[in-house]
Amino acid sequence: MQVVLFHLMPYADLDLESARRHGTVWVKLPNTHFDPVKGHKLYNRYLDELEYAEELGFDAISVNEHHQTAYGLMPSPIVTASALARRTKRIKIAILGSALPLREHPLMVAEEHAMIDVISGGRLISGFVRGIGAEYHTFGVNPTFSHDRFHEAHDLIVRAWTEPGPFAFQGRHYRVNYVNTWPRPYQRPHPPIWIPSQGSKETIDWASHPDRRYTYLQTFSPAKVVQRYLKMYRDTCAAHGYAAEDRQLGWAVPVYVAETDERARAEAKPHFEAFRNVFLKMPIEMLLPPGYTSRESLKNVMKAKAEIFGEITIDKAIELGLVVCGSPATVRQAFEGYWREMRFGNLLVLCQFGTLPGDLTRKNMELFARQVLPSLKGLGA
Amino acid sequence: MAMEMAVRSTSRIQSLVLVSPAGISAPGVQPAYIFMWSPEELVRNLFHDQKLAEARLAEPVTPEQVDIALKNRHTAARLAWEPRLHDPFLHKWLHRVTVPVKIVWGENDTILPVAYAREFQKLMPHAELEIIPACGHLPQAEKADRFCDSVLRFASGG
Repeated sequence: MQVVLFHLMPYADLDLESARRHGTVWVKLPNTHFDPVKGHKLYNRYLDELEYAEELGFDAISVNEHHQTAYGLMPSPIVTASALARRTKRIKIAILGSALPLREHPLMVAEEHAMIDVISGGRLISGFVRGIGAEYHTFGVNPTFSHDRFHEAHDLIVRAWTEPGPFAFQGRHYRVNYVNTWPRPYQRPHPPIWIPSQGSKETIDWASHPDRRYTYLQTFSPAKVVQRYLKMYRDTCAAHGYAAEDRQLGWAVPVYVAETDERARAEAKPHFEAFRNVFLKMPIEMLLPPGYTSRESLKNVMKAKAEIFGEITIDKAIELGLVVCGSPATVRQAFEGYWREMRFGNLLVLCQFGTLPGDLTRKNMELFARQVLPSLKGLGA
Repeated sequence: MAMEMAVRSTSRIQSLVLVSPAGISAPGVQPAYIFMWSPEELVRNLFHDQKLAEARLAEPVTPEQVDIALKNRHTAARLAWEPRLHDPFLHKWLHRVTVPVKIVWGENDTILPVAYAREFQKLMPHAELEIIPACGHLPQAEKADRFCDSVLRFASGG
């Protein structure tokens, strides 16, 4: 199994009481809540944490893209991935992912990812996402064209990476007479492509197609839901006439390891609950603008509204498998158990979440890396 | 929609009644951000008189109505998410509407503030503008009697 340290880079110094009064930290929380001096310390702390992952023996480190939110301070994952490309030597760097429909032009994404791949000597994992619903409110990009733009942008990027240029591209959203990307990516035919998703049949159908066979990552969902979607992915591959490899499946989940179960729970509790109940919180209309999902998916979310949008405690979250938390032995056994059921070839652990401070984040990373990671690496090997 | 047709040809249009329509931009004013509203907020913001909103909200909602509402919302976004609730070129062509025009607007419209009514009148100076006091986005529902009287009077040339 490949184990990835995933970071969201939240604004951990957030005034939680004020954020609660605003109802959400997305789109509308005034940016006067952001203090650039504190931000300077946080960015550098977070980059140090990601760089430390190489020393601790993780296979990859991962950054992602979110806009106008305290949830994550990476409107451009290109910036953080670039900094990491120069400060690390061996570890893979995953951008999970670039929000293609939100970008003015996909060729810029093709260029930026290719640059990082070339600078890092072929260590880039490219992730493509649509951006979450809230970000369609942020940019004014029409969410009813989101799938369309995503697919067309993807096609253009992969062709720009693989076909000798210059060539012309005529799409509905992007039209270019000279596609001729410099630099070309270091990896042949191109960097691996991963598709993070909160669970959608449309995405699974597309990512699992025999022409693509992209790694599908289920993010921040109860373990049962992760299992359902990973099984759906395998079943879809089977329907396409091939057996999914474990490397095509991944799970992204917050993790907290401490000396004992009790201590882990107590230390993680306020920070995880801030992550789940403040940083992730937004109204359904903000999360799912019209056309972002199919009408059926939207109705399913509306039915499960209380469950999805209600507040939960860390105890409930552990029970649901929304977070894996405990002593090294507990966490190891939990992942071994989940792995036997799901056989995911990639595990993305979020070792910093919400307001979790630097000392606890490092302790968490060290305990995980020394006492959990070695046995996970052997799974499926 | 009616204006988009009328600017192309009025050969089959005798007159036009416009009731709080979207379609143009106006300086210093924005349409409400309807896509961030919950279904309840939408109903409340349609009416000036909250008793009418509450009566509407008290009605049971069938699964068919949920589907229709979601479909309408999708279509509204498809057509009017960006540019928001207007056609950036329509204003250049409104001078072609030469048939009689009546514009009806609720004074307390929170979705498209009454400033849009005045902008429409600037673009179609021959239009007759009627602003209905104590009324929201749906004059035909909120002030039905007055609305019907004045539309009938206009249509009969009075």
